[in-house]
Amino acid sequence: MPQDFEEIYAVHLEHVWRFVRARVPGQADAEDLTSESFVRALGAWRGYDSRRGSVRAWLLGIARHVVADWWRRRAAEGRLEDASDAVVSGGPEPEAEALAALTMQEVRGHLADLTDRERDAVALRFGAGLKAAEVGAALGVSETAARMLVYRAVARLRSLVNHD
Amino acid sequence: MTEGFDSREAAAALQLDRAIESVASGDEAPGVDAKTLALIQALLVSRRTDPPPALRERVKAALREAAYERVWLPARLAAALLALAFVGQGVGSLLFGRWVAGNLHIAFEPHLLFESGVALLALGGVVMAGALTRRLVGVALAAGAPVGLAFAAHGLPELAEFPAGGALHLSQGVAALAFAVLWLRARRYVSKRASK
Repeated sequence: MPQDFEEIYAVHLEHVWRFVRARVPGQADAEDLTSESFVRALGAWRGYDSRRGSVRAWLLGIARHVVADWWRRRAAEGRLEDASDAVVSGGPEPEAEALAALTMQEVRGHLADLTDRERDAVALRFGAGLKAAEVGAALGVSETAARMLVYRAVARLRSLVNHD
Repeated sequence: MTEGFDSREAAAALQLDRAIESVASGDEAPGVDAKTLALIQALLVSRRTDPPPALRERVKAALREAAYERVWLPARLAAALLALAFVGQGVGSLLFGRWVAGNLHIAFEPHLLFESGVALLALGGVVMAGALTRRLVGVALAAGAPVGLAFAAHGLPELAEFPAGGALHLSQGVAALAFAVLWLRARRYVSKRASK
């Protein structure tokens, strides 16, 4: 493995993991897909061009394709029964996060109502912690369009969750 | 820049973007209603999800394995070419023996051509197995490279009287040499990495 890629993997594992975990229901699947994302990235590493965006956005772009392929495979196998759970479980949250976690339970059920692109945008902005410009780079749209995707996704979720 | 989006919607999107940033940093998000704030906080839970402790090692191992596969790939490609050259010669011996003998101005010996054809197909199979399965690359090299080089040395003079046959032997020699060199290079790289 090239030395520079070893450093990249060490730095960006968390971001890729959080994005993938926010897009697939099971932790084991998220681990598999995170691993697969880095293996694919290693294969494409020579083709990475820093002028076209940050390494993080590039890696998350690859992860996005890996996740999309995974969902396609599941759809082909007719295993979409838990699509609405396509968001991080969050694991055991501290008490301070209980309120947010409660809302998360509600939110989880409604993510399936978003478009694929909106789900990607939400996972990249909230899960992976990318800035709007980086979300845009990963999705191949402008910063404004990325912000709009997140805004519309949040607006849709806001109208769906019952949390007044 | 609103890029054709409704300017009020674009402004609201910008405000939401700033609110996400503020909430993520643990700051206040003025101008955001309680429901949206709760939603932002809920969605940010995923950002606080750390990878399982074993994942780092698992990804590292997968990357090592992938890198290892890539190191052997050129040698395996050369093995595939060598295998195809052997299979080509085997098929030629089995199906076009008379034509080969005629071009070489030798007596047509169906018995010999049949047996050498079958042997070449078997050899091609062994070398192809090495091309397809990494742990058999060494076996493929031991079986195929000496034969490829020997055929090249023996068959090159054919170029003048039977160009097709000479070219086939030349390609066998080149593929065998490339296979050996690439195998050695991969072996050296792997040993160096292992010693590190």
